[in-house]
Amino acid sequence: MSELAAYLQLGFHHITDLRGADHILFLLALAAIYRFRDWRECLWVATAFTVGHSLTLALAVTNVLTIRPALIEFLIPITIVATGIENLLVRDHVRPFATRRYRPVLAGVFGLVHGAGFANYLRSLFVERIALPLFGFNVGIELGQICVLILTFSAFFVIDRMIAMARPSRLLAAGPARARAIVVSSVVLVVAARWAVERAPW
Amino acid sequence: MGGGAGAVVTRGLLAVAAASLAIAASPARSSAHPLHTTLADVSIGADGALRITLRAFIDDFSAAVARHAGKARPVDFAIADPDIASYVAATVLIEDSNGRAVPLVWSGARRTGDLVWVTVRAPTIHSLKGIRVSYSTLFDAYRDQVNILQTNDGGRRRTVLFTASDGRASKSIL
Repeated sequence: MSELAAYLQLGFHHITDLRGADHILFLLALAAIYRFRDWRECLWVATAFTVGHSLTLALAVTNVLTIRPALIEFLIPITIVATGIENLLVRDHVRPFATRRYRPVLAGVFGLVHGAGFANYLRSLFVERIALPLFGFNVGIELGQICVLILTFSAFFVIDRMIAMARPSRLLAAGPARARAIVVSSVVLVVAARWAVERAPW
Repeated sequence: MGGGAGAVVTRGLLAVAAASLAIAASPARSSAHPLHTTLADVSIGADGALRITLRAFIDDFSAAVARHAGKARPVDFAIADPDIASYVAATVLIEDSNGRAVPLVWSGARRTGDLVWVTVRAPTIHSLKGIRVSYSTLFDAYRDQVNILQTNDGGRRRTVLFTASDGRASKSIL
């Protein structure tokens, strides 16, 4: 296997590993408000997350930026909690995309935090040649994110149909997608809040 | 209660139910999402013999070495060279081109920051051609462990990944 393919596989494996659910949970939080037909918008937001994530990772592994790992481990679930709260509080998610540019910015900023999460590991391990492993790792993460989002949107599509067929009238006042977004966001928010408490650095 | 208020209450109850389910179902103790990796460079050294330099994070590695030696987790990650050699010999296995196990000879270990670097040699092997490697270091510690093996054969670089699902299976490295 070429070096690039190996590190691409490593990044893909890292993001899709269910045992370390930080990133998957964050992607769920990002995607929770979108309907199946909004996939392009969600992909744009996820790519903004990757850009932020790649930027910090590059700065951290090249020693330009140094952040305490304990602080980062605490901040990662905080970003998930914040996204979950935003999902619950901002009800009007069907405005034209042009008026909602803050969401990719938010994802990019939160990506900065997530990128620092494993920078220490890469920096320590790849002391001689970091450029190719870093590039391959990031491409693998982006591909992994796309796979996670495809599965997520497929599941959302099925869930929305099921909710619509069940016709719980009060819940449907805001539409099946909103009901599903509330459930998913609440679950994600609570799990991440618990992680944040457990990882509090004080 | 009006229909709009009823819908708000229903959604609130739904959120509370989902949150309760999440609390009940989430793991008792979370950990961050670290990369569990070690990295080994395999090449033919200046003396003409196969050389493996393995680097690993000292905290995980020292715990695994101590466990393998039947000792308590060491304070300050201090581990004895014979214990390291024994653990590496048990988790890094070389087969020659005829499928025979190749004994590894201890060359030394050093520590830099969070890393421990371990070097072993196979004096009877003078080419990477036909060599197969099993690399299961720390598979006993983490199910998501990925070991990266890099070869440099006259400037031609290759990388082989070993995951826990590989177990102790050997792989061709060229």
